[in-house]
Amino acid sequence: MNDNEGIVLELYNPDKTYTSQKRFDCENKTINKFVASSLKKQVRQNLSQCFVLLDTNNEDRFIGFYTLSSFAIDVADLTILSGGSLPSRIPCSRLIMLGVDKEYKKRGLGKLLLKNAIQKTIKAAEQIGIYGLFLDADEAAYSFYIEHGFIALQEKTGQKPTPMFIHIDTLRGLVFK
Amino acid sequence: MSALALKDARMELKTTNDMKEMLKTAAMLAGQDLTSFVLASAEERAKSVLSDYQSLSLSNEEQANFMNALTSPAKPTKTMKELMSAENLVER
Repeated sequence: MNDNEGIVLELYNPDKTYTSQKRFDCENKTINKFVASSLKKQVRQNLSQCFVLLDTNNEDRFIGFYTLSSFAIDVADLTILSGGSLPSRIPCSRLIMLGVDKEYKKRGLGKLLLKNAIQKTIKAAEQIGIYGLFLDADEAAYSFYIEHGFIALQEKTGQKPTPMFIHIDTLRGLVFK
Repeated sequence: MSALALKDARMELKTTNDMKEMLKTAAMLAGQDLTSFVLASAEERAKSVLSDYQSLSLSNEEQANFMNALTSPAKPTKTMKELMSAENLVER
């Protein structure tokens, strides 16, 4: 699977102009629109961090990305029961969006972006308290994340995105075992 | 936003005649003028987007399930193990 030569990942710089960022098409309208018009602003305001996938064989074309931010899951009602052993808001990292351009699909790049986001989460957890990785999986991605061991925090209902979570120790186990 | 707040910003929106008529009718039924109606609806939606961006609130049962997952983390699945042993992306 090494037709991915020349493809590199870098921290997204909102002050830089990326080749074809505005033409990015991962076949998901919401994500395409986000990349074309909101990504720059969101990163500039420190609302999320973005890592971008570039094709160095094609003028550093913008071919994929993911955004990561901090997040919290509210468990205030149970904190009382747990006798204060857990905080009322469980801090996590959140994988907000992930996409690969349709011309670069079927090369495993989406998976490798997920892997990279997991590695970033593990690194962040070494510095600040993080219990795990959170994401909202849309219907098409739901079984993909289940296979990778994410659990659904709410029952999957119709076409609405499902909030999903994976424990930091589950992720860590993979790296250090 | 309090009712007494100084309104020193202006927003102009383009829309279709049909949309404007629908909003006007709905505003009338709700007993509001068009501006208050549009702003109040947008404010409500904005608050929900902002709060969803920061945190997730779960029902009691969902919180209990989540608590279990927190106290006894699952073993990584085979698919996850395969992913984590795959080659890394090149970073620069």
